[in-house]
Amino acid sequence: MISSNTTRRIGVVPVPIFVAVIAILDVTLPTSVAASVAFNPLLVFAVLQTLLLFGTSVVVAYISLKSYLSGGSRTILLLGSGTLAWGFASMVAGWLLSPPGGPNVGVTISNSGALFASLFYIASATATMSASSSRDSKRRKSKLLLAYGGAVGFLAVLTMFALLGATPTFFVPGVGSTLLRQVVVAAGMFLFGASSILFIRLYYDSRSGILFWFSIALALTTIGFAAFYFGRTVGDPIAWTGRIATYLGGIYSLIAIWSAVRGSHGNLSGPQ
Amino acid sequence: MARNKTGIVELDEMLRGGFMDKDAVMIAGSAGTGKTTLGLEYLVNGATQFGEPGIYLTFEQLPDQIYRDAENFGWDLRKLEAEDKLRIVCTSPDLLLEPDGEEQLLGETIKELRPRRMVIDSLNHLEMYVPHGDLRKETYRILMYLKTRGITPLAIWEAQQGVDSYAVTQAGMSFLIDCLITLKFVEIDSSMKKALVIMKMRGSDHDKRLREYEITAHGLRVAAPFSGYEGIITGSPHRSLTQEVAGAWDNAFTKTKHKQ
Repeated sequence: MISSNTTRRIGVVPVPIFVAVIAILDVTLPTSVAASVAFNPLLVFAVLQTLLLFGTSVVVAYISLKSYLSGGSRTILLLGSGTLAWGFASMVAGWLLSPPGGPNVGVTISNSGALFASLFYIASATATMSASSSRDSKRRKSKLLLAYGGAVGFLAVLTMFALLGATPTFFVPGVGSTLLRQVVVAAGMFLFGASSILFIRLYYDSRSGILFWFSIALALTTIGFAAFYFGRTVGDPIAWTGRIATYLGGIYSLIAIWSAVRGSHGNLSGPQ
Repeated sequence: MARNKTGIVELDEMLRGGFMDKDAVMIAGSAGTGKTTLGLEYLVNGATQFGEPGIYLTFEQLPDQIYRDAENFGWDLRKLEAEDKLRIVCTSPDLLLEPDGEEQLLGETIKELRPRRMVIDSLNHLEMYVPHGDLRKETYRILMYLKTRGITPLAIWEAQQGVDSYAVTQAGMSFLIDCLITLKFVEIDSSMKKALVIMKMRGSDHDKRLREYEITAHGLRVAAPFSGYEGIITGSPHRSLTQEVAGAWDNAFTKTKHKQ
């Protein structure tokens, strides 16, 4: 039986690997080559986004929902809202990379949605520093509806505006990212990274498997953002490295849930 | 369909409007669960809110005790008696069990008061006075006597707390009862709570969920269902897997901050 410490050490390994691959590709990959090897199977991408980002986010958002309704922790409410926002934006962006959307629409929703989600995550991570919970159990449902509904509602409106061409341009095919996209991606990357660091700090206090796997999931998502930042074009090797990192992040968030399942049964074996 | 409201809003919602008119109702539960309080509240609300006079037939307590206990909930039973809206009948079970005992004991009161509801507190006392096996026959006789006079009888039954506390059938009386409500103590998260469930309601839909309730200064108040728990009826409640996972999830993100 592999110990939980060993499992966690193995779990961290992908983080430096992805960082190294992106760094090497950034240094060695010429823009012309990147564009020629760009790979964009739209249906596969949409399905991957739906299964590995939206699907996993729904699981985390659901457990957070149940957790908030019984415990009232604002940390959990914000975390659930952020995860739902991230998953929803990823799924919509995945399907809208093809018409009636297009690269700009997909990138706009993906990047803006990710920045929006990262605001929830950083708020959640900072809320863990203070005792913040709603004692009024009767109002939890309305707060939950407001937070989850607000997150999805905002992204739905953003999607509508993006489809109508009413949002600023994020990506110009053949030219690349706009300055706005670079700013949004950099801000999102910073906030995801900061959230990951804050949660991993909590992990060192509690040694909770849930915190460990969730922190690494956020770290992998941060790496995905870095790939957005350094990528030359949609679907190039750097972009795919980032996508794979975010998909692995989705899987890691499921491992965090699995740790909760194990923890709830007092079983310390497995990916604790 | 005519309904007999209890006046406890949440309980009436659970009963889809109240007890069915002239149905025999049983409140079963262990000592201290609030059976008598529920019975009295049913009568007081009937008299004060719905213009339905009632009779409280007790083999257990003396009238002064009942008046005193009711006052604690803000119910002035003496005043209701003076207004001919309520009668407290304190008697011995053997009088009721005599041939034609119910007519002799209650006939005159029923003529005077024209009650629509009556509480019998409790059937267990009758059990002490009848040979084993005759309780069903005697209960049937009393309940039919009341029903044929347009009265909705509410009988109280003290059941033992435990796995088979819901087995009112142990006395073989469930078939006599049209509506059965069970009150039960449950231990959840190291605190004792009270649970109410409608086990049976002949000829009507009803809320099948276990609901928490409290005895407050104003009587019985029914709260939310026990969501996320399993095994409450068997006396060993535990959270469902989803709730357990949600609890572990909450602990991971919130317990840590208490350490800081």
